[in-house]
Amino acid sequence: MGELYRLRRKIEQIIKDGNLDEHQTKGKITLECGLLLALINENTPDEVNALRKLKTAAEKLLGNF
Amino acid sequence: MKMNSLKLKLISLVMACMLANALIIAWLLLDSFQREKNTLAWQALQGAQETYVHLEENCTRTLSATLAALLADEKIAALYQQRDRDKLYRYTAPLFEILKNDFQVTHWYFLEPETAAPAIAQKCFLRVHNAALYGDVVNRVTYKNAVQTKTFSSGKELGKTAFALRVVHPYYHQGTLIGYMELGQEIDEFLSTMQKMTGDAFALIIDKRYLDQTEWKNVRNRKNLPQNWDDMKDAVLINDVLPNKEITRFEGEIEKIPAAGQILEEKQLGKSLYMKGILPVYDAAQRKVGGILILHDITKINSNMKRTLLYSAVSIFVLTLVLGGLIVFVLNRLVFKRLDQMNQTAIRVVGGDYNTKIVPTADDELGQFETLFEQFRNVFVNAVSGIENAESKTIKTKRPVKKRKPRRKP
Repeated sequence: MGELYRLRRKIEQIIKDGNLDEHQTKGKITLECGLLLALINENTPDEVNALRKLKTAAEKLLGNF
Repeated sequence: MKMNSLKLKLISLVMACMLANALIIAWLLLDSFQREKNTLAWQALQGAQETYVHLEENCTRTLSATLAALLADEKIAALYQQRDRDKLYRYTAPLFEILKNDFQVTHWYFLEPETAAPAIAQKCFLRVHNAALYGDVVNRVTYKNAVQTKTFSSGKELGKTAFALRVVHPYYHQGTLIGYMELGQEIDEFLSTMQKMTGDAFALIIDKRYLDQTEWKNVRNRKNLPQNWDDMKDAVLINDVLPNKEITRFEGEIEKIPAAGQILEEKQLGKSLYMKGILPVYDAAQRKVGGILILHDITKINSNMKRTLLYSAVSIFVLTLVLGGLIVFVLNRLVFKRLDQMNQTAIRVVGGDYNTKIVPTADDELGQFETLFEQFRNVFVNAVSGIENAESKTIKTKRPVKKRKPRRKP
């Protein structure tokens, strides 16, 4: 399991735990980082740039990530 | 709402336009009211001028008719020709009392003709209104005009302290010129008559250069009137029918008063508001010797105008609010709500919600964009779904297949 996919799962878990609107929150993170979360899977290669962008967007929208 | 949002900008623009519109309307109303007040003041000036001219004409006509009757009186002519001043005075004095009390005639002169002996020519033979004073040379314009034209001559002339309308006519007896007779009326009475006719208040002021200061002060003392010579710089108040002496002041130059009159200022007196104006007064030599101050009460019209202005301002304010609210409501419904819906849909679609659709709500420019957006959403959803399916199959293919343990043969 790659780091990107792990991040996606973490985001999904936070959304679930926080009872947030899943599609809206995911949509905002996607638009913020420019990565379509739906297309991140366990085989997605861990590019440093993509990881950084996703982490920054998640932190911005979900708080202390 | 964000400071840089289109909604805020449009609302601000609409409100600014409506506010500017309201201000322009308010300014136009104020300007119109001011013009209306000026028009009323001009009408009052014109009315006063017409009334004054009318009064002067009527008065001249009455004096002329009276003079004609007196000139035709054989008894008076005989006494005058006898050159017996006392007899003439005793006969004319009771008649003068009637003329004075009933018809406001204040002056009655018997004047020597220009053809008389040089010692008496053009001198006053008798003042019926002031018998003690006689023998002075008469230089008044009305007298000189009558001498020149040998017919009626009339006009207003200033004495040392008073302003009187005078009518002079040659005095003939059996076709021979025996002198001149003159009747006069002080025009102080004009003001109260004008007030009765127009409802306005008036004051008569005279340029000091045409009056004798010492004589003026003596007359004021004799009549027990307060001294007013120094009240104004260049003019002195002769008579007034004004509610307050303060408003008789005129600090301008009488010579510069336009022929049609001049609006001076608005003047508040207690609860009343007046428009003050002035008309020039000419003497028989057509010199501008004084002015008639006019006070036209504009309290009622002013309060009506203020009330109208207040109602208009409130109406404009309410209308601006209602129209502004309506424009904001319509803009919100036609533009911003639909833009927000597309915005939310876009967020949800990229967030994985492929079922939320955009339904065009109108066939307008934004409706066309909604249709285009929905088509784009379909393309996006199909593409992402395709990729997701393909990747899902790849993952399944790559996943290692667990080897089954061979069954032991029993």
